[in-house]
Amino acid sequence: MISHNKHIAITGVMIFWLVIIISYVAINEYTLSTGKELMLKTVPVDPRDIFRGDYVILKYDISDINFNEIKKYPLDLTPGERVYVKLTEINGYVQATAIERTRPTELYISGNIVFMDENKASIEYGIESYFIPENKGKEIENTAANNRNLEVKIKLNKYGSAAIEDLYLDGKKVEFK
Amino acid sequence: MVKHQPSKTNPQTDNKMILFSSTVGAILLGLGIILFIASNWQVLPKLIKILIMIIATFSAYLTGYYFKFIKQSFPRVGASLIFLGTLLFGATIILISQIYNLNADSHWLLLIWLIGILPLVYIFKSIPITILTTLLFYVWMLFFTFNEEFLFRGGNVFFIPIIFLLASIALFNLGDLHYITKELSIIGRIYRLISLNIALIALIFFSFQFVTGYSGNELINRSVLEISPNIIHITIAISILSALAIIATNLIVKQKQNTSLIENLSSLVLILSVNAFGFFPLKNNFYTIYFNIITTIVIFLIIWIGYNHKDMKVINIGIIWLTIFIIIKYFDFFWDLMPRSLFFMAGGVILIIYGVTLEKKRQLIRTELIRE
Repeated sequence: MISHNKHIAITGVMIFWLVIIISYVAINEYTLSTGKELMLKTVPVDPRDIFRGDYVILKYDISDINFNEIKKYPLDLTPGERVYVKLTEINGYVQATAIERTRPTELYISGNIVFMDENKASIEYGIESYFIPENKGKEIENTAANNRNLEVKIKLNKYGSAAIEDLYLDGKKVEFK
Repeated sequence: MVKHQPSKTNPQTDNKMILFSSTVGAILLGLGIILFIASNWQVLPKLIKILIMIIATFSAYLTGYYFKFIKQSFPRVGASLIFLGTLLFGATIILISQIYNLNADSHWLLLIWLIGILPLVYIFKSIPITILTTLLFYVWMLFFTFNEEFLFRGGNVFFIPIIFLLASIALFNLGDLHYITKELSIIGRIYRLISLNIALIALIFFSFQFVTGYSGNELINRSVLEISPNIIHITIAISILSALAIIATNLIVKQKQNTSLIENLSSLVLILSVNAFGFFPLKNNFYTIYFNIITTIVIFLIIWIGYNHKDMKVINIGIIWLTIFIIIKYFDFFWDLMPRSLFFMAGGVILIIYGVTLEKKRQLIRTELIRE
């Protein structure tokens, strides 16, 4: 007969799984329901197809930050470092104004430095993938070639974490049927 | 080395067949559920999709638990359903990240999956779950080192096989630590068999001149490539973990094998060798020659240790990798030196002679082991 301890362990794993799944959903739902709505200009970089299906990699204006276009940045940033990018809204779109090591008091998004040289820093914010139904990515893929505007509506929570809400093509929300 | 397990009798072979077919069934069922969700991607609201996955995951897990432990009437089918639960748990994590458009190359998803199912390895001592966990560990490490460190941060790519070899040495010795009880030794053996194969792949990689040698081209020379601070920390941490696993095994596992000393020494030599190669690059071909010798010694040691433990599985691993190594080295050394026709004819003759000798030797060892 199975021991009492094994019963506890098996139930424990079930609770552990539930906690992981619920926390994972809750964190993202929290950002989407309480976050500040912001628009980002974007271009699709490289559509791919791996085990999670079709998705496009998105690159934003704030993905590559030129140091001569912002007011403040630490001189000794290294790849892999966690940074906080101060944001401002100009004509309805978000732009970076500074890179900081500590959380700013104004609007900011947190990210990781992925590449650095003397002129610019490339930063990842965790919102660089957008999943699309299989074989329906052609329109998004061709936006850059056809001079069409692709924008992303994100929600940014007070801890600097962002989640993608919707994709807009020439001002119209992209919906897949 | 990979320690001896009692030889299997016929009823156990039947059990293996049942376990195999129900595991394949579990994989197919899991695939079907994932494809159902994927094909109805836009039709279903996101919370319904998550709910379907949660219900499927827990139904598989609980039904398996009921069959294996409560009713105890179909233990193998129960085990397969629990295995299906572990696959669906991973699929649920991946699906949620897809629903919320979280970064596709994130190694965190694999790590969460790995952490979620690791306790089941020790609760059920199930072979398929242990294999899945071990493979997930390697895939996670590949995503972590490649996507997070190299692809974007431009780190030193030579550290990918270094980290894989070090992780394999750590896993191999952690596997040894599981021989503290007979029950846990089943898990330890799987860790050791898989890590042995991965370590050999890494070692063969190091035996090439383009990896460990010096071509004169400064652009691809290891000494000028930047090593990211994270990779330095990871390399040192895994090296220490491997050394600690060796010490812990010697202190805790009382029942020593007669090959333990050789295994420990080989592990230490490999840890020091790859660290030297990673952190002290040379502008000559010393490391290429060194790793060719080391790989040959390691392969023969595996065959010798397998023979000592009367473990045909370990002997076969050694022989398979010896064959692969000979073919690779034949191409590596003679491709540019010989005319193509002569290259293939000589290669063919060598392989036929090798095959005949190998078959004779294997039959001899097998007969000897059966007799003993």
